[in-house]
Amino acid sequence: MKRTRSIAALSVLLMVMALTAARADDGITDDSVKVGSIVPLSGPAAPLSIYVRQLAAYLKYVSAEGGVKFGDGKVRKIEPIVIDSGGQPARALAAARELVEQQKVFLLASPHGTNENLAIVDYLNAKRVPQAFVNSPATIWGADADKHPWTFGFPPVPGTQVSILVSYIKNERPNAKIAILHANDQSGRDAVVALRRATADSAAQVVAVESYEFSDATVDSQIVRLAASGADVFIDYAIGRHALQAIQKAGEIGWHPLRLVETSTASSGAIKKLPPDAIEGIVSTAYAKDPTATEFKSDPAILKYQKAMAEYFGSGFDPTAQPLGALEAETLVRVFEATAAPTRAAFVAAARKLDHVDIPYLLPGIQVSLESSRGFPITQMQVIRFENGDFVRVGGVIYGPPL
Amino acid sequence: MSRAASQFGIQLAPLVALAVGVAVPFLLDSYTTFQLATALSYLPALLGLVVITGLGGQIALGNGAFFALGAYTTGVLIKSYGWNELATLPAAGLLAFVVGIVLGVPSLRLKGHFLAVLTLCLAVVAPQLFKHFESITGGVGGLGIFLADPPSWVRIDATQRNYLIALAIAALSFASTRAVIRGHIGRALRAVRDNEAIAASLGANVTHLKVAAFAYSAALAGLGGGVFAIVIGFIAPDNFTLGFAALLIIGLVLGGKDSEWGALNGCLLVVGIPLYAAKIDQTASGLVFALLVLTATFLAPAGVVGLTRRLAGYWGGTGDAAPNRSANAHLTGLHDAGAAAGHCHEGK
Amino acid sequence: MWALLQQTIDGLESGAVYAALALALVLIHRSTGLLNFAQGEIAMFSTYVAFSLNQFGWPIWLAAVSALVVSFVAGMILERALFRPLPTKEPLAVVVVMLSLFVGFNALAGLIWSYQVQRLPSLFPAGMISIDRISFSFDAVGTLGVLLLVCVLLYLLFSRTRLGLMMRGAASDAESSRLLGIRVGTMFGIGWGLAAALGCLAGILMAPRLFLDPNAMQGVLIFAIAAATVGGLDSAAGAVVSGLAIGVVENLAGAYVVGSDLRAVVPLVAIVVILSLRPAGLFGTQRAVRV
Repeated sequence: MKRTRSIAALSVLLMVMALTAARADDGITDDSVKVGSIVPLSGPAAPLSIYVRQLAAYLKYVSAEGGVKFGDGKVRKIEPIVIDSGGQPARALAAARELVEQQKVFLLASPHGTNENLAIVDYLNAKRVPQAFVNSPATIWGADADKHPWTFGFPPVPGTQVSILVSYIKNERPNAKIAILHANDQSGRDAVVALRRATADSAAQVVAVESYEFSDATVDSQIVRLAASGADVFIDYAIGRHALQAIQKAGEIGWHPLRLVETSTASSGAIKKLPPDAIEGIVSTAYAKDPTATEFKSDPAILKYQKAMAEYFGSGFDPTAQPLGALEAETLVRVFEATAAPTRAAFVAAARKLDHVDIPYLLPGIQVSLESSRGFPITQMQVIRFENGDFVRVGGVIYGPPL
Repeated sequence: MSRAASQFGIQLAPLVALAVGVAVPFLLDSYTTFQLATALSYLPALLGLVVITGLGGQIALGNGAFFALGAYTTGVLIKSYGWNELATLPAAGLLAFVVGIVLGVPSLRLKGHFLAVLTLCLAVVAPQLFKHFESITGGVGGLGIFLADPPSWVRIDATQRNYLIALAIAALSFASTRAVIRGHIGRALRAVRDNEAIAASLGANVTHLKVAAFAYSAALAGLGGGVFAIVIGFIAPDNFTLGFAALLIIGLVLGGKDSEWGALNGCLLVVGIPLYAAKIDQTASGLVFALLVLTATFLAPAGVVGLTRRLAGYWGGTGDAAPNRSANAHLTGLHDAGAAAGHCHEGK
Repeated sequence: MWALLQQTIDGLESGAVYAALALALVLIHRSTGLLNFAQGEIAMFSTYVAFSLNQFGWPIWLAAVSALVVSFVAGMILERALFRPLPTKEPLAVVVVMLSLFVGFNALAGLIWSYQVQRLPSLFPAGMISIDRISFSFDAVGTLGVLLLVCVLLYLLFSRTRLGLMMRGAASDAESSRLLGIRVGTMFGIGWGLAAALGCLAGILMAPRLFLDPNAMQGVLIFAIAAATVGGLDSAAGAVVSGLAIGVVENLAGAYVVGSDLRAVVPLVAIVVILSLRPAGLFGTQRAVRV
């Protein structure tokens, strides 16, 4: 309650500041606005850089199609500038400084990586530059909003994902014995915390927890230990090739639990690299529309996305990847449409007032809400299950508490 | 140019460089100051490598680990114990020095490839250790060090203050390494590098020399790491992976590996080349970086310093530019090796 | 008990992966005296070549053999273009060139094939052998078999053939070898070519289990270097034995002793222990230096 009040007060304050200081900030003119982003174009997290590239391409497309009409009535084109962080927090800070001090961007949109964003959050908040829709599933972006009012996250945090997975598990196997494999990073740790919290008062129990490093060659050893625990449910919260190794190894040693995977493994198409009979029955969560799904093949938003990517993404576009970058870009556009003055404060005020907004790239029923969720834009997902060669949506949209 | 005049010129150069360095934060913009501060935080580590690898001939690939140790020492002391940031720097250097001795004694028995591989393993293990002891280091989530702005009566902002700290440490390391290179310890190390067996037979305590050089390089790397933590304000284990150790070696070689000026060139290159590569092409910056480094290596295999020496040679320059490759100098080096052994015995 | 045995078998499987790359490292060292830090990335790149050919529709055996040939040629070109022109007075310049290759091949692979995970079909039939609930794949057995075969072939090459003798001569004393009429440069080139091909083979053998992305070899490299070093940098048998041993110790230590985040300590400890007992490695030859 106290937090809602302080966030509301904050929003009001920002709005007042915004309206009284109507002189334009850096990076925004009457017909254009510069938006910066930081992304690991190289290094172990590079696979995830496609989403920011999608964002940049989508923004270029929108600009070419006429631009965005802001809340102050002016139509502006958006100019995205993307800098490589190499996955290193120190380089991310240098990139942030370059974007703010040299390129003079209006805001940072969807900078990628938890540690990279941690490295720049103090700097950006001190400089009062919005750090919008941070591409990191860390809980702090929503949880500590008072400490960094200029910063907010976007993807559903592990708390949301895991609580939704657990609600599925409780339905299917009420007395489940759960094993989890996670990366030894903040997101993985958050997942374990969320798992223990979600199973605290139920018949389902956590019986084994294993972690791995990104530099590990295989996770065979961890899978064997998980299997030896007698678990009948396996949450594969690994990402990238380790997620696939885990599934393959489990099958090889004859361990056939109920298997659930982290959302990006399912959504990025990685899991489909395994043969279909090996992944039959795997469960995951989703929040964005799958561009390869038959039901969305003629969806106007998906068609717009594909057109934008074809023209502006450049080499290496993966048509099976989820349009998460387009999702963030479209959300950014909505906030711009509500931004009443050409100032950063006005932008943040508009963003924090977002509530129950339908963005066409989200699955029907899921909405973006910053105000009522107190800092967590997406807290709903839908369960998906792999059946007969493709993922199908199961049940309805579920709310997963982020904290 | 007379001998005396060129000697004077040689002594003047570092002071000129220092003066330029001090002027920088007040003349250039904040972003450039920040980048230069980052470069200067690498300088002590490179100077240390000049001593152990350039002079001593020992391929030490693990100094990134000492850098990380220094960074975490500073970070933990500031964040968990509230130390003043300047006070943490000697602690960072000292801890790295001690660990350098402890690790150096067994490691430096190995030679050539074996030593390289051992130090490589150190570089790989270190980030994992920092991740593991998370109650102290903050683990995977990293450590944020938020330093308050300097008091308003000082009239400089945080970026300039951080830069000046980096400059001070860099200048101290530069002066100290310069003394080592030109002194008898430097000559003794070169003798050991060129022919260890002869150096030993002439009385050099080879083990002491090597361990001392290694520990010195560790201490400097630790100091640099502490400065890095102050300049960047956030440290995480993934900052200090193998890639970082590789970057240090690249900086050392491209700058010029047996001169303190080489280290200075190197630290500017270490920051400059990735920036330049990113400007050429964002998505292919790794590839451009590799091509730039390859080209630089072929144009100047002895680094920028080697290149300038060759050019100076073409123009008939004088002075003690050339390293001691003459026969006399070789013998002097061996003699000094013996003398240094004596010093090592009583000094340590 | 099952878990312990399964961990040991799994250790042999990952050990085989380390051993395969270690063999390439040993080969380069034996023929040129260099320790090639970029071997893993070159191996990864050539595995991607096999992947691309396979995506084109070529059967995996054909794709693999073609990739091996391409790697051999590429290895020779690398040696000729990048390493021969370097002045021998600057050994560190060699290290820098290798590091550039490391970064360059990684970036190039990312550019061409993106960083998404890919799957490479196995050379061997799919399926597991299960004895009393301990399972290992045909893949693993096949990999071990290929490794042993390569070991034998390398042994025959170096000790029974004239080419092998010439390569050894070129590596240990280039000057004298030239005086004897041995074309030292060509020998180095062949060494590089063979090592590149071996690295490619290692990659193709491990990709079906590890899955392929541009960073796949980075975790393996340090273990492979450790295995080659502990085995004595010139011994193929040493590399294989050490690789397998390191794999098993790493798995068991990670499972029962240090926890999976400190598995990287294992190669470090192995090197310290073995090299202090036998400074030239388990099977290495002591080098005498003429003063």
